[in-house]
Amino acid sequence: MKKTSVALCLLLYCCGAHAQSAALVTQSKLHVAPKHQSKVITELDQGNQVDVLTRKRAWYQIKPLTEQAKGWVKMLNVRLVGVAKREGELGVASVLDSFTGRTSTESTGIRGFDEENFRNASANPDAVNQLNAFVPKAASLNRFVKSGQLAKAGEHK
Amino acid sequence: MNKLLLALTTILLMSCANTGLKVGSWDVGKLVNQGVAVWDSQNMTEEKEYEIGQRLSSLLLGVRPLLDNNDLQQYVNQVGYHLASHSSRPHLNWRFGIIHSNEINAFAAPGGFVFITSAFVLQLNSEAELAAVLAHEIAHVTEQHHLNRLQSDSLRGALTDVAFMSADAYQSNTGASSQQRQYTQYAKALSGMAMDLYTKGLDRDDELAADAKALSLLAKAGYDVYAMAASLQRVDAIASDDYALAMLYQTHPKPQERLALITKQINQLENDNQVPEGVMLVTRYQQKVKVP
Repeated sequence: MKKTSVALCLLLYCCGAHAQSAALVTQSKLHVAPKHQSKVITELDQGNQVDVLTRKRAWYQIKPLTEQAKGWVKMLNVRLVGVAKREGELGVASVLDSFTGRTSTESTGIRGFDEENFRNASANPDAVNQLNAFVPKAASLNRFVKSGQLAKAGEHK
Repeated sequence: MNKLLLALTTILLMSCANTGLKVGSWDVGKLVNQGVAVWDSQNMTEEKEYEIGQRLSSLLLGVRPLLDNNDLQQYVNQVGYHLASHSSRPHLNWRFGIIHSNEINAFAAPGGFVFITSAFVLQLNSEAELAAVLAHEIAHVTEQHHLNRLQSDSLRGALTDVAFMSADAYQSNTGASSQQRQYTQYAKALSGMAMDLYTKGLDRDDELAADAKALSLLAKAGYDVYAMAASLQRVDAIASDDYALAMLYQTHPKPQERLALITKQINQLENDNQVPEGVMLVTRYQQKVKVP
């Protein structure tokens, strides 16, 4: 049991996974595996607070606060709880250019896509042209698809 | 100061206007002359569709800039292009971009333009979730939702009025100050169109239809279809009065409503044994986005 816990912790660490707070929106069966037919550990009440560890297809692996055991519930029985991750906040990697070490002096600010900002916006055709530079070359796209084990165009899984 | 500004603007417009009204490399005059014809669905071509998308995108990027991170931009383009290759219009000049913004949102414009905000990218947890968001926008493009909305009478009226006036200006060759006026009116009409589209949003039916199409596209592309539900759950997790969500909620049905319909669709697929094992690609995503 201890070995499994350590292994699980290492796995979680390596995958960069972290628990996500959530609550059950309905009474739910806690299964040993992400399958309807698998053994039911216990039944959990609506409102039960849980930590979501990972997902497999339509199932979340959770650790209910009230239980010792981890188990699997249907993902739609769960409502995630959290806050918007904001750039620059602790624990949130900056999505700004992290390769040149440049920090942007442009703050994200409060300005957003509302009526006033559209009214005051000037057209930015140069930025539109910049998009051309990001279009992937065929070879690079093929490598991307292959390494992700995605479906090749024309091939439907 | 104002006189100087007017003079400078006039000189700039004149110097660009050898063949008519121009903004940078765009022949604005040519487009507004075609204004009447453009909205006639029989005359709508992919080229014109793309031009309209370019202009709308230029306004979106006038509100907030592109994120200054080439690596991440290229990654989003790889995911986007892979999805587009499985869509009903793979041959379009698809253009994907991350907009640097603290609002959680995504946008599409006719002809193949798809944008996602940096705040949204931060919020998601896997490549499949990113693919779900992009697939929804791709569906808006393939189904021409924005284009159909622009073709409604009121908006068409706004653009054709400007088109007529610009045609007059051309023919009468009335000089710089008139050209400036025409350009300003055209620019206003265009920015009015963009504002209307992106702050009011599309019809509820169009949004739900895009969700349905996105689900199929995810499956075809080999991504885990449940990531669609996961991405909505992540948005739903945030307090509904958080400013990051204000515009998203103004323009889209609430996540719970969308989740209910997606669940129904997935259940139907499950009953027909048609939900393939797709990939999530959590690690690849986190390597690209989370790890500095």
